Amino acid sequence: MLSMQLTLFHPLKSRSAMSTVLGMLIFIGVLFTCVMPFFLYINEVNSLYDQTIIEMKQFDRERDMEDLAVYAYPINQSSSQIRLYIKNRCPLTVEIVRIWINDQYFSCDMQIFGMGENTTDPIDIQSMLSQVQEVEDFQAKVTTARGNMFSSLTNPLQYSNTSGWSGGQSFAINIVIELSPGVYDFNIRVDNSNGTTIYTEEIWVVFENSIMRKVDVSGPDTYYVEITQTHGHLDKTSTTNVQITLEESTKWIYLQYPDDFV
Amino acid sequence: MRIPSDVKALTPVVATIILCGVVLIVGISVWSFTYSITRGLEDDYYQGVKRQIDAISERFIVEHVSYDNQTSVLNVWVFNYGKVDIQVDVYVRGDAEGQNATGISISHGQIERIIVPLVANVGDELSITVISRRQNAVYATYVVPSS
Repeated sequence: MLSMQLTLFHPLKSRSAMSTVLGMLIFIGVLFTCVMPFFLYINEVNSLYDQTIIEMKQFDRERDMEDLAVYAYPINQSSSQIRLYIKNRCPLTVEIVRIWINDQYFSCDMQIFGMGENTTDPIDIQSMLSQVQEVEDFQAKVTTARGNMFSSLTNPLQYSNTSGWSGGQSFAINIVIELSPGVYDFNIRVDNSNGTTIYTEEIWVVFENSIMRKVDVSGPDTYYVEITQTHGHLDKTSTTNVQITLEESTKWIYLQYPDDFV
Repeated sequence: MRIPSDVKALTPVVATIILCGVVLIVGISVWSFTYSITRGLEDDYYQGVKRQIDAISERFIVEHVSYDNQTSVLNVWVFNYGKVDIQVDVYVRGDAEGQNATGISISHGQIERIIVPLVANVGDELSITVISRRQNAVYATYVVPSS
Protein backbone atom coordinates (compact mmCIF):
# COMPACT_ATOMS: atom_id res chain seq x y z
CA MET A 1 0.00 0.00 0.00
CA LEU A 2 2.83 2.31 0.90
CA SER A 3 4.73 1.50 -2.30
CA MET A 4 1.59 2.14 -4.36
CA GLN A 5 1.21 5.52 -2.73
CA LEU A 6 4.86 6.34 -3.48
CA THR A 7 4.48 5.29 -7.10
CA LEU A 8 1.31 7.33 -7.57
CA PHE A 9 2.50 10.51 -5.96
CA HIS A 10 6.17 10.39 -6.87
CA PRO A 11 5.86 12.67 -9.95
CA LEU A 12 4.08 15.29 -7.95
CA LYS A 13 6.98 15.39 -5.59
CA SER A 14 9.20 16.57 -8.47
CA ARG A 15 6.95 19.25 -9.95
CA SER A 16 9.54 20.55 -12.41
CA ALA A 17 9.62 17.22 -14.24
CA MET A 18 6.28 17.75 -15.95
CA SER A 19 7.21 21.32 -16.85
CA THR A 20 10.49 20.09 -18.28
CA VAL A 21 8.62 17.62 -20.44
CA LEU A 22 6.23 20.34 -21.56
CA GLY A 23 9.10 22.72 -22.21
CA MET A 24 10.86 20.07 -24.23
CA LEU A 25 7.70 19.39 -26.22
CA ILE A 26 7.34 23.10 -26.95
CA PHE A 27 10.99 23.30 -27.98
CA ILE A 28 10.54 20.38 -30.33
CA GLY A 29 7.33 21.99 -31.58
CA VAL A 30 9.18 25.21 -32.32
CA LEU A 31 11.89 23.21 -34.06
CA PHE A 32 9.48 21.31 -36.27
CA THR A 33 6.95 24.04 -37.00
CA CYS A 34 9.22 27.08 -37.35
CA VAL A 35 12.91 26.36 -37.74
CA MET A 36 12.84 23.31 -39.99
CA PRO A 37 10.19 24.72 -42.37
CA PHE A 38 12.26 27.90 -42.50
CA PHE A 39 15.33 26.02 -43.71
CA LEU A 40 13.25 23.96 -46.13
CA TYR A 41 11.71 27.15 -47.49
CA ILE A 42 15.14 28.76 -47.94
CA ASN A 43 16.27 25.65 -49.77
CA GLU A 44 13.23 25.78 -52.01
CA VAL A 45 13.80 29.46 -52.85
CA ASN A 46 17.45 28.74 -53.62
CA SER A 47 16.34 25.92 -55.92
CA LEU A 48 14.02 28.34 -57.69
CA TYR A 49 16.93 30.71 -58.22
CA ASP A 50 19.16 27.94 -59.55
CA GLN A 51 16.37 26.74 -61.81
CA THR A 52 15.90 30.24 -63.21
CA ILE A 53 19.61 30.49 -63.97
CA ILE A 54 19.50 27.17 -65.81
CA GLU A 55 16.38 28.24 -67.73
CA MET A 56 17.90 31.55 -68.75
CA LYS A 57 21.15 29.87 -69.83
CA GLN A 58 19.09 27.50 -71.96
CA PHE A 59 17.13 30.47 -73.31
CA ASP A 60 20.34 32.28 -74.25
CA ARG A 61 21.77 29.13 -75.82
CA GLU A 62 18.65 28.70 -77.95
CA ARG A 63 18.83 32.36 -78.91
CA ASP A 64 22.42 31.90 -80.07
CA MET A 65 21.39 28.88 -82.12
CA GLU A 66 18.84 30.80 -84.17
CA ASP A 67 19.97 31.21 -87.75
CA LEU A 68 17.74 32.48 -90.54
CA ALA A 69 18.33 33.31 -94.16
CA VAL A 70 15.92 36.07 -95.10
CA TYR A 71 15.20 37.10 -98.67
CA ALA A 72 12.89 40.06 -99.20
CA TYR A 73 11.53 40.42 -102.69
CA PRO A 74 8.93 42.54 -104.41
CA ILE A 75 6.14 40.43 -105.89
CA ASN A 76 6.83 41.86 -109.33
CA GLN A 77 8.94 44.53 -110.95
CA SER A 78 6.61 47.39 -110.07
CA SER A 79 4.64 45.97 -107.17
CA SER A 80 4.04 47.84 -103.93
CA GLN A 81 3.97 44.53 -102.10
CA ILE A 82 6.95 42.76 -100.63
CA ARG A 83 7.22 39.19 -99.48
CA LEU A 84 9.93 37.61 -97.39
CA TYR A 85 11.14 34.12 -98.04
CA ILE A 86 12.71 32.88 -94.82
CA LYS A 87 14.76 29.75 -94.47
CA ASN A 88 15.35 28.46 -90.97
CA ARG A 89 18.88 27.08 -90.74
CA CYS A 90 18.70 25.92 -87.12
CA PRO A 91 17.00 22.92 -85.55
CA LEU A 92 14.69 25.03 -83.38
CA THR A 93 11.28 26.37 -84.27
CA VAL A 94 11.63 30.10 -84.81
CA GLU A 95 8.80 32.56 -84.33
CA ILE A 96 8.87 35.75 -86.39
CA VAL A 97 7.23 38.60 -84.48
CA ARG A 98 8.02 41.63 -86.62
CA ILE A 99 9.11 42.61 -90.09
CA TRP A 100 10.88 45.91 -90.56
CA ILE A 101 10.94 47.79 -93.82
CA ASN A 102 13.16 50.81 -93.23
CA ASP A 103 11.76 52.59 -90.15
CA GLN A 104 8.34 51.00 -90.23
CA TYR A 105 7.47 47.67 -88.72
CA PHE A 106 4.72 45.22 -89.46
CA SER A 107 3.60 42.76 -86.80
CA CYS A 108 3.84 39.15 -87.79
CA ASP A 109 3.00 35.84 -86.21
CA MET A 110 4.74 33.17 -88.17
CA GLN A 111 6.47 30.03 -87.00
CA ILE A 112 9.11 28.26 -89.01
CA PHE A 113 9.99 24.76 -87.96
CA GLY A 114 13.57 23.63 -87.60
CA MET A 115 15.35 23.59 -90.97
CA GLY A 116 12.07 24.55 -92.58
CA GLU A 117 11.13 27.50 -94.72
CA ASN A 118 8.22 29.82 -95.11
CA THR A 119 7.11 32.84 -97.07
CA THR A 120 5.33 35.73 -95.43
CA ASP A 121 2.07 37.22 -96.63
CA PRO A 122 2.54 40.22 -98.91
CA ILE A 123 3.36 43.43 -97.08
CA ASP A 124 1.99 46.53 -98.70
CA ILE A 125 4.39 49.47 -98.62
CA GLN A 126 2.47 51.75 -100.97
CA SER A 127 2.54 54.52 -98.36
CA MET A 128 6.34 54.38 -98.36
CA LEU A 129 6.68 54.11 -102.13
CA SER A 130 4.47 57.13 -102.66
CA GLN A 131 7.06 59.26 -100.87
CA VAL A 132 9.93 58.10 -103.06
CA GLN A 133 11.41 60.91 -105.14
CA GLU A 134 13.37 59.22 -107.92
CA VAL A 135 15.27 56.38 -106.20
CA GLU A 136 15.26 55.05 -102.65
CA ASP A 137 16.76 52.11 -100.85
CA PHE A 138 14.66 49.80 -98.72
CA GLN A 139 16.15 47.68 -95.98
CA ALA A 140 14.20 44.70 -94.71
CA LYS A 141 14.81 42.73 -91.54
CA VAL A 142 12.90 40.41 -89.26
CA THR A 143 12.80 40.07 -85.49
CA THR A 144 12.28 36.77 -83.74
CA ALA A 145 10.54 36.11 -80.44
CA ARG A 146 13.91 35.17 -78.93
CA GLY A 147 15.18 38.66 -79.65
CA ASN A 148 17.32 38.07 -82.72
CA MET A 149 17.27 40.20 -85.81
CA PHE A 150 18.11 39.04 -89.31
CA SER A 151 18.55 41.37 -92.24
CA SER A 152 17.42 40.40 -95.67
CA LEU A 153 20.16 39.02 -97.88
CA THR A 154 18.69 40.97 -100.78
CA ASN A 155 19.22 44.32 -99.02
CA PRO A 156 19.08 46.99 -100.15
CA LEU A 157 16.07 46.72 -102.39
CA GLN A 158 16.16 49.73 -104.64
CA TYR A 159 12.99 51.31 -105.92
CA SER A 160 12.90 53.79 -108.76
CA ASN A 161 9.81 55.70 -109.80
CA THR A 162 10.64 55.02 -113.42
CA SER A 163 12.00 51.49 -113.57
CA GLY A 164 10.61 49.86 -110.43
CA TRP A 165 12.59 47.47 -108.30
CA SER A 166 16.24 46.54 -108.59
CA GLY A 167 19.18 46.40 -106.29
CA GLY A 168 21.30 44.13 -104.16
CA GLN A 169 24.91 44.44 -103.09
CA SER A 170 26.43 41.14 -104.15
CA PHE A 171 26.82 39.37 -107.46
CA ALA A 172 23.58 37.48 -107.61
CA ILE A 173 20.60 36.49 -109.69
CA ASN A 174 17.31 36.74 -107.82
CA ILE A 175 14.65 34.53 -109.32
CA VAL A 176 10.99 35.14 -108.47
CA ILE A 177 8.29 32.90 -109.89
CA GLU A 178 4.68 33.89 -109.45
CA LEU A 179 2.15 31.11 -109.64
CA SER A 180 -1.38 30.19 -108.75
CA PRO A 181 -1.65 27.96 -105.67
CA GLY A 182 -1.08 24.32 -106.49
CA VAL A 183 1.58 21.64 -106.42
CA TYR A 184 4.67 22.19 -108.53
CA ASP A 185 8.12 20.76 -108.91
CA PHE A 186 10.59 23.32 -110.21
CA ASN A 187 14.15 22.53 -111.21
CA ILE A 188 16.42 25.51 -111.40
CA ARG A 189 19.76 25.34 -113.16
CA VAL A 190 22.23 28.15 -113.69
CA ASP A 191 25.25 27.79 -115.99
CA ASN A 192 28.04 30.27 -116.51
CA SER A 193 29.37 31.25 -119.95
CA ASN A 194 31.75 28.25 -119.98
CA GLY A 195 28.82 25.89 -119.69
CA THR A 196 29.66 24.93 -116.12
CA THR A 197 26.63 24.45 -113.91
CA ILE A 198 27.05 26.65 -110.86
CA TYR A 199 23.67 26.12 -109.24
CA THR A 200 20.96 23.48 -109.28
CA GLU A 201 18.00 23.06 -107.02
CA GLU A 202 14.77 21.13 -107.05
CA ILE A 203 11.93 22.95 -105.32
CA TRP A 204 8.63 21.38 -104.42
CA VAL A 205 5.97 24.04 -104.09
CA VAL A 206 2.76 23.24 -102.26
CA PHE A 207 0.06 25.89 -102.28
CA GLU A 208 2.27 28.93 -102.46
CA ASN A 209 1.66 32.10 -104.44
CA SER A 210 5.28 32.66 -105.28
CA ILE A 211 8.77 31.33 -104.75
CA MET A 212 12.04 33.18 -104.60
CA ARG A 213 15.61 32.01 -104.83
CA LYS A 214 18.82 33.98 -104.68
CA VAL A 215 21.61 32.49 -106.75
CA ASP A 216 25.02 33.87 -105.81
CA VAL A 217 27.37 34.09 -108.75
CA SER A 218 31.10 34.61 -108.86
CA GLY A 219 31.25 37.86 -110.81
CA PRO A 220 30.49 39.61 -114.06
CA ASP A 221 29.50 37.15 -116.76
CA THR A 222 26.55 36.03 -118.82
CA TYR A 223 24.65 33.30 -117.07
CA TYR A 224 22.16 30.88 -118.52
CA VAL A 225 19.15 30.25 -116.28
CA GLU A 226 16.87 27.32 -117.00
CA ILE A 227 13.78 26.63 -114.92
CA THR A 228 11.68 23.54 -115.59
CA GLN A 229 8.40 22.59 -113.98
CA THR A 230 8.16 18.81 -114.04
CA HIS A 231 5.07 18.03 -111.98
CA GLY A 232 2.15 16.88 -114.12
CA HIS A 233 1.97 15.50 -117.61
CA LEU A 234 4.06 18.00 -119.52
CA ASP A 235 7.33 19.60 -118.54
CA LYS A 236 7.41 23.34 -119.06
CA THR A 237 10.62 25.28 -119.27
CA SER A 238 11.72 28.88 -119.12
CA THR A 239 15.20 29.92 -120.19
CA THR A 240 16.89 33.27 -119.78
CA ASN A 241 20.34 34.71 -120.33
CA VAL A 242 21.30 37.06 -117.55
CA GLN A 243 24.18 39.47 -117.82
CA ILE A 244 25.86 40.44 -114.58
CA THR A 245 28.09 43.50 -114.73
CA LEU A 246 30.06 45.51 -112.22
CA GLU A 247 27.52 48.31 -112.56
CA GLU A 248 24.54 46.05 -112.06
CA SER A 249 25.70 43.26 -109.82
CA THR A 250 22.30 41.90 -108.93
CA LYS A 251 19.66 41.03 -111.49
CA TRP A 252 16.06 40.18 -110.76
CA ILE A 253 14.19 37.69 -112.93
CA TYR A 254 10.42 37.74 -112.61
CA LEU A 255 8.56 34.84 -114.17
CA GLN A 256 4.91 33.92 -114.17
CA TYR A 257 3.89 30.33 -114.33
CA PRO A 258 2.62 29.13 -116.76
CA ASP A 259 2.64 32.28 -118.92
CA ASP A 260 6.42 32.57 -119.18
CA PHE A 261 7.03 28.82 -119.54
CA VAL A 262 6.87 26.79 -122.77
CA MET B 1 -16.04 23.62 10.31
CA ARG B 2 -13.56 20.80 10.27
CA ILE B 3 -10.63 20.94 7.89
CA PRO B 4 -9.94 17.65 6.10
CA SER B 5 -6.78 16.02 7.21
CA ASP B 6 -5.39 15.59 3.59
CA VAL B 7 -5.77 19.26 2.56
CA LYS B 8 -1.98 19.52 2.11
CA ALA B 9 -2.21 17.14 -0.85
CA LEU B 10 -3.88 19.83 -2.95
CA THR B 11 -0.97 22.26 -2.78
CA PRO B 12 1.50 20.28 -4.95
CA VAL B 13 -1.23 19.66 -7.53
CA VAL B 14 -2.12 23.34 -7.74
CA ALA B 15 1.58 24.27 -7.87
CA THR B 16 2.18 21.79 -10.65
CA ILE B 17 -0.77 23.13 -12.62
CA ILE B 18 0.45 26.70 -12.19
CA LEU B 19 3.98 25.73 -13.20
CA CYS B 20 2.70 23.87 -16.25
CA GLY B 21 0.53 26.83 -17.12
CA VAL B 22 3.48 29.18 -16.89
CA VAL B 23 5.58 26.83 -19.05
CA LEU B 24 2.78 26.63 -21.60
CA ILE B 25 2.29 30.39 -21.71
CA VAL B 26 6.01 31.07 -22.02
CA GLY B 27 6.37 28.24 -24.56
CA ILE B 28 3.48 29.40 -26.71
CA SER B 29 4.83 32.95 -26.61
CA VAL B 30 8.24 31.72 -27.69
CA TRP B 31 6.66 29.61 -30.44
CA SER B 32 4.57 32.53 -31.62
CA PHE B 33 7.55 34.88 -31.61
CA THR B 34 9.74 32.38 -33.43
CA TYR B 35 6.96 31.68 -35.93
CA SER B 36 6.46 35.33 -36.79
CA ILE B 37 10.21 35.96 -36.96
CA THR B 38 10.79 33.03 -39.31
CA ARG B 39 7.82 34.03 -41.47
CA GLY B 40 9.26 37.53 -41.72
CA LEU B 41 12.70 36.19 -42.55
CA GLU B 42 11.21 33.88 -45.16
CA ASP B 43 9.36 36.73 -46.79
CA ASP B 44 12.43 39.00 -46.78
CA TYR B 45 14.58 36.23 -48.20
CA TYR B 46 12.04 35.42 -50.91
CA GLN B 47 11.72 39.07 -51.89
CA GLY B 48 15.52 39.36 -52.09
CA VAL B 49 15.84 36.26 -54.25
CA LYS B 50 12.83 37.30 -56.35
CA ARG B 51 14.59 40.58 -57.11
CA GLN B 52 17.66 38.67 -58.22
CA ILE B 53 15.55 36.27 -60.30
CA ASP B 54 13.80 39.18 -62.00
CA ALA B 55 17.16 40.82 -62.66
CA ILE B 56 18.61 37.71 -64.31
CA SER B 57 15.38 37.10 -66.25
CA GLU B 58 15.51 40.47 -67.94
CA ARG B 59 16.24 40.37 -71.66
CA PHE B 60 15.87 43.31 -74.00
CA ILE B 61 17.47 44.69 -77.14
CA VAL B 62 17.60 47.90 -79.09
CA GLU B 63 15.66 46.64 -82.07
CA HIS B 64 15.70 49.71 -84.24
CA VAL B 65 16.88 53.30 -84.19
CA SER B 66 15.86 56.16 -86.41
CA TYR B 67 16.41 59.89 -86.36
CA ASP B 68 13.75 62.34 -87.43
CA ASN B 69 15.58 65.51 -88.40
CA GLN B 70 12.33 67.43 -88.78
CA THR B 71 11.38 67.04 -85.13
CA SER B 72 14.95 66.53 -83.83
CA VAL B 73 13.99 63.32 -82.15
CA LEU B 74 15.86 60.06 -81.93
CA ASN B 75 13.47 57.10 -81.89
CA VAL B 76 14.76 54.05 -80.09
CA TRP B 77 12.67 50.89 -80.29
CA VAL B 78 13.35 48.58 -77.37
CA PHE B 79 12.06 45.02 -77.48
CA ASN B 80 11.56 43.23 -74.18
CA TYR B 81 11.89 39.57 -75.07
CA GLY B 82 12.50 38.44 -71.50
CA LYS B 83 10.08 37.00 -69.00
CA VAL B 84 9.52 40.02 -66.77
CA ASP B 85 8.23 43.53 -67.30
CA ILE B 86 10.92 46.18 -67.33
CA GLN B 87 11.43 49.88 -66.88
CA VAL B 88 14.18 51.47 -68.91
CA ASP B 89 16.00 54.75 -69.34
CA VAL B 90 17.81 55.70 -72.53
CA TYR B 91 21.04 57.68 -72.63
CA VAL B 92 22.64 58.88 -75.85
CA ARG B 93 26.26 59.98 -75.98
CA GLY B 94 28.69 60.68 -78.78
CA ASP B 95 28.48 63.44 -81.38
CA ALA B 96 25.12 64.46 -79.93
CA GLU B 97 23.80 63.96 -76.42
CA GLY B 98 20.37 63.39 -74.99
CA GLN B 99 18.44 61.17 -72.66
CA ASN B 100 15.05 59.91 -71.67
CA ALA B 101 15.21 58.89 -68.02
CA THR B 102 11.50 58.67 -67.36
CA GLY B 103 11.56 54.93 -66.78
CA ILE B 104 9.48 53.76 -69.73
CA SER B 105 7.64 50.55 -68.85
CA ILE B 106 7.77 47.70 -71.33
CA SER B 107 5.75 44.56 -70.74
CA HIS B 108 7.39 41.26 -71.55
CA GLY B 109 7.10 40.35 -75.21
CA GLN B 110 6.35 43.94 -76.19
CA ILE B 111 8.19 46.59 -78.15
CA GLU B 112 8.18 50.25 -77.17
CA ARG B 113 9.35 53.33 -79.01
CA ILE B 114 11.33 55.63 -76.76
CA ILE B 115 11.75 59.20 -77.83
CA VAL B 116 15.00 61.01 -77.09
CA PRO B 117 15.05 64.68 -78.03
CA LEU B 118 18.43 65.71 -79.40
CA VAL B 119 19.92 67.70 -82.24
CA ALA B 120 22.11 65.64 -84.51
CA ASN B 121 23.63 66.18 -87.92
CA VAL B 122 24.11 63.83 -90.84
CA GLY B 123 26.99 61.48 -90.14
CA ASP B 124 26.93 61.94 -86.37
CA GLU B 125 27.89 58.78 -84.52
CA LEU B 126 25.76 58.06 -81.49
CA SER B 127 26.24 55.60 -78.68
CA ILE B 128 22.94 54.48 -77.21
CA THR B 129 22.73 52.93 -73.76
CA VAL B 130 19.50 51.48 -72.47
CA ILE B 131 19.59 50.80 -68.74
CA SER B 132 16.85 49.00 -66.90
CA ARG B 133 15.87 49.92 -63.38
CA ARG B 134 17.30 46.56 -62.33
CA GLN B 135 20.66 47.80 -63.64
CA ASN B 136 20.92 45.67 -66.75
CA ALA B 137 22.18 47.52 -69.78
CA VAL B 138 22.25 47.05 -73.54
CA TYR B 139 24.14 49.15 -76.03
CA ALA B 140 23.74 50.15 -79.64
CA THR B 141 25.42 52.48 -82.06
CA TYR B 142 23.81 54.60 -84.73
CA VAL B 143 25.07 56.82 -87.49
CA VAL B 144 22.62 59.51 -88.55
CA PRO B 145 21.85 58.83 -92.22
CA SER B 146 21.64 61.43 -94.95
CA SER B 147 17.87 61.38 -95.31
